[in-house]
Amino acid sequence: MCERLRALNALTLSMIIIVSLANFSKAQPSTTHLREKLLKAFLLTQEASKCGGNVTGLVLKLNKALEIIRAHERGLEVNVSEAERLIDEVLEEAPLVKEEGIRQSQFRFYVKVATVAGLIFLLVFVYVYLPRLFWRYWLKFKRNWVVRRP
Amino acid sequence: MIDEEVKAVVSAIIIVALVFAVSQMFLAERIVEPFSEIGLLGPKKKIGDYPREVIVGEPIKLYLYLGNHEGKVMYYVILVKLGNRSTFVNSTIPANAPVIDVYERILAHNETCLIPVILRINRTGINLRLIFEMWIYDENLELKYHGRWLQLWINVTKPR
Repeated sequence: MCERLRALNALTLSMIIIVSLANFSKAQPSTTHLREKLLKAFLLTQEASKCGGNVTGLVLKLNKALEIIRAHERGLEVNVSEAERLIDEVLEEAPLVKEEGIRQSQFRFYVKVATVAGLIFLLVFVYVYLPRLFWRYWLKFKRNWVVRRP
Repeated sequence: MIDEEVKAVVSAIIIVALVFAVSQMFLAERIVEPFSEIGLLGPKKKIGDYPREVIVGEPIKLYLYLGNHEGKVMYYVILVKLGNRSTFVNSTIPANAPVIDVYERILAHNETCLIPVILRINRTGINLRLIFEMWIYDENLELKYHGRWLQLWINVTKPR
């Protein structure tokens, strides 16, 4: 009776261990899958950077995720889910950064065009009105002057 | 009064300067010559003091310098290969030698980094070459040789 109970306990224990290991392997994403996701996130980040977006934060997250993946591949005990979380964040944020970059680029372009237009306007104004204004004020300031015959 | 000719010359100079300034405003952000940097520093993070004689299995400490001036985010993969005197490598053909380590880094435009490198060589040899090749992931996500490489000549000896 006692031996049967012991055998049953051992069987239960081994079942628990097997199930836990299976769940653990399920919980830890494979690095191949993570690397694929990382490359996709990198591509989105690259697009965002080409559009003028500020990708500093995204690059930091990608490098952190890469570090975790590499550590896992080297057999170190790391939380691979953290890498997946970081990559997911990048995948989510990259399109927003891209949009912001496009908006900023457009704004910069409009500022430049406005500056050029302003300069041209100023130039024309100076060319047309400056001599007239200059002589008007010159006459105003020197109106008390008396011209003497030499 | 100002002479008409002088006026014309001054106006021309102002217009040319203005056109130059405006063109600079529009062209300043453009990347004329994109490039990537790779460099190797000694254990004291300086150019020099590189190890020449190393013992089998003993760690070699170096620093790898990377710089991105490509105008976009780049994914660099540095393959460290162990070659010898006859190993051929140039800017188009990577070395046909065993890879002993890999370093990866993603860099934003105008970003540089210093990566600590610790290598161990498990065989003896005279005039061996540690070849560091720069590879990148292109827009099709394929790993391709970027044409930048550097090398360190070493002699690996048995422990006495």
